Amino acid sequence: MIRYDAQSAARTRDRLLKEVETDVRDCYQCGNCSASCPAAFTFDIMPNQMMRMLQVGMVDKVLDSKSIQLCIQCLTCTGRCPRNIDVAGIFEDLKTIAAGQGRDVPEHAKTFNEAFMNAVARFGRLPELYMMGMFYLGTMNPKMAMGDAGLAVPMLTKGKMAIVPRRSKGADEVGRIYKKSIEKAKAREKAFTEAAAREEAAAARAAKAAPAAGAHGAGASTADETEVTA
Amino acid sequence: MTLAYYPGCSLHKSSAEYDVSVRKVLDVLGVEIKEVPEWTCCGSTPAHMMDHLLAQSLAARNLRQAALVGDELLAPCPSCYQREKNAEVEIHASDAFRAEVNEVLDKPYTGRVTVWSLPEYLMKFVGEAKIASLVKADLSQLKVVPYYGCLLGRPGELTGEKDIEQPMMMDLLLQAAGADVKWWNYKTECCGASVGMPKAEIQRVLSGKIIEQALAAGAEAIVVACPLCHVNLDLKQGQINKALGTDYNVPILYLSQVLGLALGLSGDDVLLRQNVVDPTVLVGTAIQKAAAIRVEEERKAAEKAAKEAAKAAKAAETAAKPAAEPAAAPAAPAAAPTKPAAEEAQP
Repeated sequence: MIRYDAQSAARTRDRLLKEVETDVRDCYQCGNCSASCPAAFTFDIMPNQMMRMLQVGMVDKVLDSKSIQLCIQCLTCTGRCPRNIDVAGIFEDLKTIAAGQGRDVPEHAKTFNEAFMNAVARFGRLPELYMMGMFYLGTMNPKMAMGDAGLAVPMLTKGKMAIVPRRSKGADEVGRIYKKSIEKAKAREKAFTEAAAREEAAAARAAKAAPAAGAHGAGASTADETEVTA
Repeated sequence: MTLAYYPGCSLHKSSAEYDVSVRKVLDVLGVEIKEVPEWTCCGSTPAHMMDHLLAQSLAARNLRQAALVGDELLAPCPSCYQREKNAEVEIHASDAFRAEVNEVLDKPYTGRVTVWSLPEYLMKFVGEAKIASLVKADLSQLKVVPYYGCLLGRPGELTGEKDIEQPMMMDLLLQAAGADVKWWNYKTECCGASVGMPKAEIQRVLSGKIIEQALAAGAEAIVVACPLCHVNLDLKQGQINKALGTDYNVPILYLSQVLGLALGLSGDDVLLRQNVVDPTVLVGTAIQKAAAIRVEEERKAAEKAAKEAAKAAKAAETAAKPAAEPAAAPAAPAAAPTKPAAEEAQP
């Protein structure tokens, strides 16, 4: 049985509405997104299932899913959604939320993103060889590195890769942009989690105070709203 | 007005052939460009997978730098184009968001820079007619499919692409350049770019399908306008073959390389030797074949003209001698037309 977590559904929905300008309630399960997704064969949860899970508030499961890490952001789902839902935008946002909450992500995508951004923040422009090195160090997976080692030959002989990375002008500013944005993101995430906790505590108190009335707490009103549309 | 030019990290080094060929083609077409001063990385996929403000601010920094050159910005890399366009649209639409971004930047971005992709810019500001009028080399024997990938068109609201399933910009540009453009259904399928390293098996399968479909469509080369698509299809073609058990050897050309060749630039001008799957033989053969066909066609046309002249002469002769004796008739006209026909064929 799926437990409907109406409160959590409403909170996530509001947040996605604000950040991606997309309402997951619009999804009517046509499955176009999943049928179109070129990476779906690697997903643990299909995109249309994700939309449904968000509607009913199974937010934790969604945030811990492999799918949001494996999404390749080709935007085919977004382009083909008959309800105009920015599915890829939701995936992107869930990924940033998961990163902000410091969730343990099972896939290498996060390692790659961090290696990439750290390299850019340091040098201003992407030093490809340096970034690849840092990524493979981060994965702690020598087999993966060996798989790509063969590429170094054509890349180096054809002058496609600089061996020694150089800092470009403007690198300092890029470093500051990275630092400031990530600090802001962490603060925002903290504020959101705290507000959610406060809301839940208030709802619990309200339920305790009026066990007979029951349906008039802060949480219950969102529950009504969700049930109508879910 | 000078066009601001944002090469981005890929064109700067690993895809120098794209950078060089774009600059040369624009030069031939009379478009004046100036590189964005002190540009930095657009943030690419990793930035917007981490944080929205980070992604938009990194892109906004480049818009601010581009504004020092002008109000139009060309970003030939679709990944850069997508990030810069995204920032442009959101920042220009909301002063509040612009303020939020400017808080993160060292110096504020106050301009209104419009970002263009390469096919978009060529279609809008140069046009097929001008390209066709400047064609010097015959590429009619170069069988290609244009591969758009994800970021040139999707999402349509952002890029202004009217048909995200069957875009036509590259088709039309290649046709204007005189190439033999094949129709196929994999124009906008994803090559797996953003997970080429962290999730290689996705990339192998997706890129392999694209090469398979291009061959099925009758193409001998795939034309791209994206350094990430190029890396996945060209540099990693060996890895695809290894993973899928195939033996593809399909050259992957940049749009600007094909346009450059058509406009009379040499293979060295557009850095064909930088491509990992060697395209020089294919391109050379196609140009030779086209030349041979032209010679053959000219010969056939001359032959046809000669035959028609002979026919006309024969008709004139029979009309002039309606009462000729039946015994002399078959022999005389057969010999007579050779002389005027030879004369006709001369000019």
